[in-house]
Amino acid sequence: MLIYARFHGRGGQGVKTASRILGNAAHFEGYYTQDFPIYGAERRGAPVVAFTRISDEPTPIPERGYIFNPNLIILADESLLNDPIVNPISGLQNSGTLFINTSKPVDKIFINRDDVRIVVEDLIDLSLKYVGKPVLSTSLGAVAAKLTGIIRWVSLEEGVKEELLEIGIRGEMLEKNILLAKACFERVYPTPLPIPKLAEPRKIVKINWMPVDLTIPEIRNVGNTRVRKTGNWRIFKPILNPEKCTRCGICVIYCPEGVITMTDNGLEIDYDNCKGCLICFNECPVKAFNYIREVEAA
Amino acid sequence: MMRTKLISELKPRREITPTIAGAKMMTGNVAAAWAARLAEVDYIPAYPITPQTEIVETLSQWIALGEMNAKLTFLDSEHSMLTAAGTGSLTGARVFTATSSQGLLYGFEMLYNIAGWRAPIVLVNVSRAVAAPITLEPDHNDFLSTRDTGFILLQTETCQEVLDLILLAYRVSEDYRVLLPSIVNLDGFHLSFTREPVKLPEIEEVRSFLPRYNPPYPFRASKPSAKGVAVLRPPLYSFYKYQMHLSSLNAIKVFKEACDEFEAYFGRRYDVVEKYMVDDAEYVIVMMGSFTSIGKKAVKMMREEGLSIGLLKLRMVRPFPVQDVRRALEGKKAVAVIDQNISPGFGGTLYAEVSSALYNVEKKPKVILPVIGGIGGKTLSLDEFRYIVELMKKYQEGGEPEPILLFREDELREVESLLKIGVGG
Repeated sequence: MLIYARFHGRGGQGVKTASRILGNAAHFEGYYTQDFPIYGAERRGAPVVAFTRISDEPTPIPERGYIFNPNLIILADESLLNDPIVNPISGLQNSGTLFINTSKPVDKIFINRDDVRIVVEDLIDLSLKYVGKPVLSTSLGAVAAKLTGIIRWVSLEEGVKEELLEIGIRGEMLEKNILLAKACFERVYPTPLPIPKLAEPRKIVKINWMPVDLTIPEIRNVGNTRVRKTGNWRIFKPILNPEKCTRCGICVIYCPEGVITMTDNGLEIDYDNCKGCLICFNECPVKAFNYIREVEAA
Repeated sequence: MMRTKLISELKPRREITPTIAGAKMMTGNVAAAWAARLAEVDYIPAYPITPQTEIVETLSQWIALGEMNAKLTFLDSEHSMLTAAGTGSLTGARVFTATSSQGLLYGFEMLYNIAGWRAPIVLVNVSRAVAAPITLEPDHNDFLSTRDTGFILLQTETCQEVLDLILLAYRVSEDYRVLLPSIVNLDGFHLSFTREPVKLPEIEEVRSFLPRYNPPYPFRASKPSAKGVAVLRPPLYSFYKYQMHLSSLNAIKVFKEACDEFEAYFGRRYDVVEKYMVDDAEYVIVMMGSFTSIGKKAVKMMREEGLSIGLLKLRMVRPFPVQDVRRALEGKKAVAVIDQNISPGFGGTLYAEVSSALYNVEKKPKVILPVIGGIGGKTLSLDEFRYIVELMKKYQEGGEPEPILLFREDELREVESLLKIGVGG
């Protein structure tokens, strides 16, 4: 095996497509490749993980499922870096590469590992510049392909084309994405990745009968969704101009997250849970909303 | 200090691996859709369920774009979907449909009917563990629940195998010596959403390998007949049912014949079982499905460490390939059966089947170890395969093995911390 790449991001950010772009590129480069995503019940904003395995053996890849010991990690969303449930850098191999999509410089990124290489790039910025939309799939796939050190531009270009055509992107939009991929590909430099090592041996344990307080599948500690803030997925922050607002309430009705509330003092937006979909901005009949690019995660 | 070897020093640019030349990256679901397209099916009754939906979505898209000529209808449940599939097949149409888990169980009653009508449909089941608790991850309880329906049951390991076995399933099902429907199973996520290189056969070759279905008694207005009849004399029921059993047994021979022809056409070799380093092995692990890939890797590594071990993959589950299993496993020191399913109060389903196949064999293995692993999509690792070998050796010294669950210490810790969040304390 050569490459064990793991992609972390949120539903809707294009992590699955990115893993497939890398998969296509490696396939066109002539390697046996496998890629796949894991997600639960589909929900935009929920953490998503995807994988690409690249092998130099001439036989199908004899592995399945989660990659626990990647040598390359691609993190689409910096806000997940310190999420204890996602734990995106877990298992990253010694001298492996961690890529983070962020507007911060690399010396402002803190992880408690000094044996891995961190690469940062503001892919949102590049995507806005080349495509006009914050699309991460192409840029993440391109960065990942370059960081493997074994994929040439021609294979990546073919890989991006095949994947985007399959999801219905063509014409000018496809060309813009190719330019974006090229820009990302030229922007980062690979350092050699370590040969994947086996995980430390782990013990097999016997599972004994336990009493019903632990073994009925039910959640009795209810109400913990309130502490799970979903606002950290936001790329654009809607800003309401209260002077323009007529309090018609259309945004309150359209907001899919229910985070806009009508109060005696006007409208209030719960930014802890606003995902920045900008439906309020689009639906407001008097254009009372504006938005700003959010650089720091909420 | 020894320097870590680095990838770029090992592998500069290389040529395309011949085994993937001309292949296309696709998921198991898309491979299943391609098989239906290449088999030029006439009718696809459909109902969505994760992780199967991509199959009927793909077919629906091809039909809408005019790339495929078939009638696709969305029904109001899996029960009506399967009823439509069986009755459609009786008119003489080639029928394809797909479902998963709860959907399969919701339509369950019709499985017995379709087999009893002798309607040779091919149903793809994308394995997903059955609720409760609810999950989207795979195991084989849904697939194996169909064990006694009369369907031919085939199990796949790779995306290529998904495509190939669906084509083979039509060949076997539509053969008059069999004339029974088939279920081709693929594991959710690990195949359904996993992309691997898949070679698409040429349509002319598929047409030649799999000619149009020629039903023995198609349902025609000009030639009426009553199908799905009641038999109120018990001997008649016994007779029909036993004929189904004998026809199912024929499927082993018919499958093997079809595999020979398949290899001549497409160059890939299949059989009812697959032996991986089995012939000279003292210890053998029996399993099926996509996790077999992980098993093969573990076997290869243990071989390199000098252990005499092999892996027997079951590709066909019904009819159960008793002779092939016997010939592969007789004379072995110990056999472990990994069941990716659980029958609470007993253990694994395949364990009982493999054991019964071996009981009357003269040189039967001393130990047949029952192992439950990978249920609800729990991954298997090298550690677990090593543990199985330890146990096989231990029970050779004596003792009566009980079904064990493959579960690691780190996984138990994870479960404990999740339980804490869920129930407090």
